[in-house]
Amino acid sequence: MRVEETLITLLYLFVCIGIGLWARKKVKESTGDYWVAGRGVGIFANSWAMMAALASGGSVIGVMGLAYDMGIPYAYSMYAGAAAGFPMAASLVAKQLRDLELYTITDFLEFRYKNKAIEIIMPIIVVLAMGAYIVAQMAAAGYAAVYLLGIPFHLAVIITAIIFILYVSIGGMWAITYTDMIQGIIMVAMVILLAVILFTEFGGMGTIITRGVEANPNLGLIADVPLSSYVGAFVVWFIAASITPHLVMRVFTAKGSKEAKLSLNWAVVIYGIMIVFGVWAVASAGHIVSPGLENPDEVFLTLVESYMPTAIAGVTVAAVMAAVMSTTDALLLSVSSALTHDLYAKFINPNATEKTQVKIGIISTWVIGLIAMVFALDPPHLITLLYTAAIGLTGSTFFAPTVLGIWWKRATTQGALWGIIAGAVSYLYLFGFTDMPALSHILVSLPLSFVVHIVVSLLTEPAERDKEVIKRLEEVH
Amino acid sequence: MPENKQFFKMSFGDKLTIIILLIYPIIAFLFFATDITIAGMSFFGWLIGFLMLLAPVVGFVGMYITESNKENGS
Repeated sequence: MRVEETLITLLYLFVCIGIGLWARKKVKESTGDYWVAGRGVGIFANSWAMMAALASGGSVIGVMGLAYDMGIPYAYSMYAGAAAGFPMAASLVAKQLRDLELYTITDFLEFRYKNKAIEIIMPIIVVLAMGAYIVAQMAAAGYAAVYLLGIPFHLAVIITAIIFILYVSIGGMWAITYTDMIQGIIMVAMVILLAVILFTEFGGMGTIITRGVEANPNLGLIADVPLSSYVGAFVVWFIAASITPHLVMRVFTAKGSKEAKLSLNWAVVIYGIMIVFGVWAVASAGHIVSPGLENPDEVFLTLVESYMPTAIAGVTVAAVMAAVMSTTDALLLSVSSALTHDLYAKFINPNATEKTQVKIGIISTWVIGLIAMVFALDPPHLITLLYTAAIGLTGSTFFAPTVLGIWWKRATTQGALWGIIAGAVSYLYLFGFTDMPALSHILVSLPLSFVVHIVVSLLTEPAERDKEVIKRLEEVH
Repeated sequence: MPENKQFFKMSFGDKLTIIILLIYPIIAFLFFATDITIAGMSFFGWLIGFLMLLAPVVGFVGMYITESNKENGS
């Protein structure tokens, strides 16, 4: 076990629990505080928390390994979709969703379409899709801890999972907001510091990439992957910020719609700088000093060990854990809110008091967290595919009804229902039963969802209640 | 100008943001199959990487235009 790294990581984990305990006082009896932090999060905290929720372990270790292995253009195109998706979400959905004062994306679909089938299908998809994502992140936390701290995998998964669950369950959205803010600052500081050290060490930004390309010409070239995979990866992440529950929930926490839009844009400033310059420096330097690494994901940590000052290298361990934790905690709360707010409080016990709902929220966080932990102890071999499918499935299902529901007055409940079914079923079929290139399935399922939604809406009459809904939407446009 | 009965009105700043964010990647992907490289990296790589820095700037400009138009009452 590495003593220095372990102590710093433990200190960092205790800080997370401490924030959870502090937040506990704020969220004891109010669902508004538990699920959306009382809609009182300012631009600074929300921007860092949004960035941290987006940037998982993949954004710190995975993207560097991807660029090292497949070339910088491939890594950039994977992550550029997310970066462009945030400002698009700011213009397309943020104002309306925030000003309607809702708790979840399912709340919007209920308000807009009022249909039992939609209200049941959507939270179930959230639980399944985001659940798969949580398992992947918990397993990643375990692998990171094994490599960084030298502790057994099972022990690493159990310790990290229980800490996630503990501070999310006791502190709700307030705990997540402040832990994510700290986690975001740590991970960006470490990646940028390493990039600056490498740029200085290898003669500047121009020289390092030229030397990297000389060491391996494929570093700068387009990888041998079909164009449809590139475009599909871009589209999946481009639409994610507008509809993926663990990202959208940060829009609901903002103090106002202007703050929500500004937070989305600032989050991408931070994210873009971290990814562009981090990948540029690490992938290039990796090929110069450590060509032919058997496991490309080790390139980041190899360079940390070689070039970061010893005292700071320990903090990098915390930064990697922070990247994984900040995404997992947001996912955990989004699944818990789907179960408690969208299913329990609406269908099982509609008379539940706010205090009861908070209690159920805590219980459901533990149940989901522990189930995910059990799966993460023996992660399925196709976990990366499952996690990619999760994001693609939510995009194919949620994007059309959300965007059309906000902007198109003629969108009807039947149109939304059949559009949702077409998007979800076609995505799952293409993903599971065809040989389409990886990540390209959404290029069929997303347009299909839009077409079905529009055609069925035009063929059906708007419901009587739609007049009231449109009137309310007029107020938030 | 008659009210659009089908769609809610979107501010000019938001429209501009969305149009740029949709058109820029399409242009970038047009260079996918070309052999142009700068400092050893494909032109497509530079374009798509630059999008990560450009996107928030476009978002801020769009917000500024929307706010200015709102203040001017247009």
